[in-house]
Amino acid sequence: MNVARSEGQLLTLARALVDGTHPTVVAPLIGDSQPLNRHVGPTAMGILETTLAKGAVMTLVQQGGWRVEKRPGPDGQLRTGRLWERHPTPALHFSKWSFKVLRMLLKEPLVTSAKCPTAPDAPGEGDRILALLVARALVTLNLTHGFGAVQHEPLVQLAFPWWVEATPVDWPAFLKGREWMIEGLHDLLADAWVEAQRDMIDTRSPARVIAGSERQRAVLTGFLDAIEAMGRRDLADFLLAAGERLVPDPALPPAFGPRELDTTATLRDRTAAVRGSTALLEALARVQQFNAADRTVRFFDDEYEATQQRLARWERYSDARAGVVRRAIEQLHA
Amino acid sequence: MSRCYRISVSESLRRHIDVDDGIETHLELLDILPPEQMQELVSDQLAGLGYTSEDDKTWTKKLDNGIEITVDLEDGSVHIGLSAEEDLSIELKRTTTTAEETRQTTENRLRQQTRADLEREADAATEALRVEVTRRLEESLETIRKELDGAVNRATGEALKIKAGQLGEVQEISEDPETGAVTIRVKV
Repeated sequence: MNVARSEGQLLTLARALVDGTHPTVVAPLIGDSQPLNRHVGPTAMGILETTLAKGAVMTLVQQGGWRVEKRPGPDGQLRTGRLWERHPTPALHFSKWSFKVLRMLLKEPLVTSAKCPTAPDAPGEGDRILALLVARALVTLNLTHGFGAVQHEPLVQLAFPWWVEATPVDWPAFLKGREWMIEGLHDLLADAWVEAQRDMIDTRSPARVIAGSERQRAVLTGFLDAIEAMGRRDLADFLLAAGERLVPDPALPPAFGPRELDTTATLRDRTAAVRGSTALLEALARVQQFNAADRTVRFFDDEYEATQQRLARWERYSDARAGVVRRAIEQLHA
Repeated sequence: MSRCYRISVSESLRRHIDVDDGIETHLELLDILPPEQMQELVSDQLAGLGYTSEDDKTWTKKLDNGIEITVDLEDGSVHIGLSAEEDLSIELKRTTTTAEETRQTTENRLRQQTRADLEREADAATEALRVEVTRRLEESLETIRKELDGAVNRATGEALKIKAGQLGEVQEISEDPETGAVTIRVKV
């Protein structure tokens, strides 16, 4: 099949975003003001649609959907299997927005500025997944001017609040019926929180630590409140996965707070930054409270089986790690 | 041929600047005795360290370097702060040459630039003073923390002795001055 050069670049970019290619591989294409034809031919458009559709499915499979797990299905009953065995096949619709955001990545300079497409009125589930993948690429390549295109998306708020400006999210409304998304994107979400923590530790600006941590705190509070109310505390598993990676050995606890804040900043700001930097740790402490509540569920209670799954998950995270997190919070808040 | 003019402007700035920095922290008081009694014990320790109070609840001390420490025993909060002030007096002279036709415009622009430079110098002086305040505060922080921790530990030791006396007959008290550990033997 023949496509125009610019169409080929568009397809290469789309493919790289959805198949997990490290963004640095396609960095020469992104933010480099590529000349683009006004229109895309039917051949290229057909390939793009297929790439996005199959790629979104592969993302859900690779980022957590492949695991055989026992989790509540849409009817609340526990089901064992991979993601597609536990949930009905969702419709992954891509709107014009997806096309516009790909064009933005190619056309706009991004390093200095970007004209971002407006948020879609009714994003399809495919748009949402693409927004998350685009955000991941922008974060990796530090192309902050592109965030305006994706920060409207709740998945982007959930994964990257350290980097993107806050937009209000109605978490209960968003999560209802989209539990499969959180389950399928488990690994990507865990990766994002690990990267955010590492970036925060190396950040020198107290103002950046304070602002980023506040956004993280707001997102995690809203998300955890929503999943607790929904009875889906297992959706916080990606936070436990992040915690396991940040504390590989509880016997050798790492440092959690900012390593070296700008010493010319006021002591007031530096202290506020250190104390405020514990958003992820506080969320892990809250998941520990979920665990404490789970331990009181009796074998004849309705949610006993679901609780047992969560307790088994907790075992992998372990009380030892929870202790490390608790002590870190005390130390940083002192 | 238009004539060339030399333009000189002089601008000055006089300003009073105030800067401050500080941190809030917390005393951790164990509930060995009722709060009022614990506060009294800590008050005694603070008084011994040179803190003063008008109501036995809020204690303050000012160090030789100007740092002020305020301890509120009701909520256990501690504020450690330092402020400084300075009267700035800056004068800048700028000179340039211009053609006759643009004399007025050039003078206006030169004056604007000079005022902007004055503001930048004033900001730099303010920031320098603030950095100095932060440096002095940071230097003293460890010493202040140790002093307050010592006061709380001694008050806790006293509280333990009182509590032990309430439980039974105190037979032996030993204290390790290095670690601050207190061992009390009580016959119940």
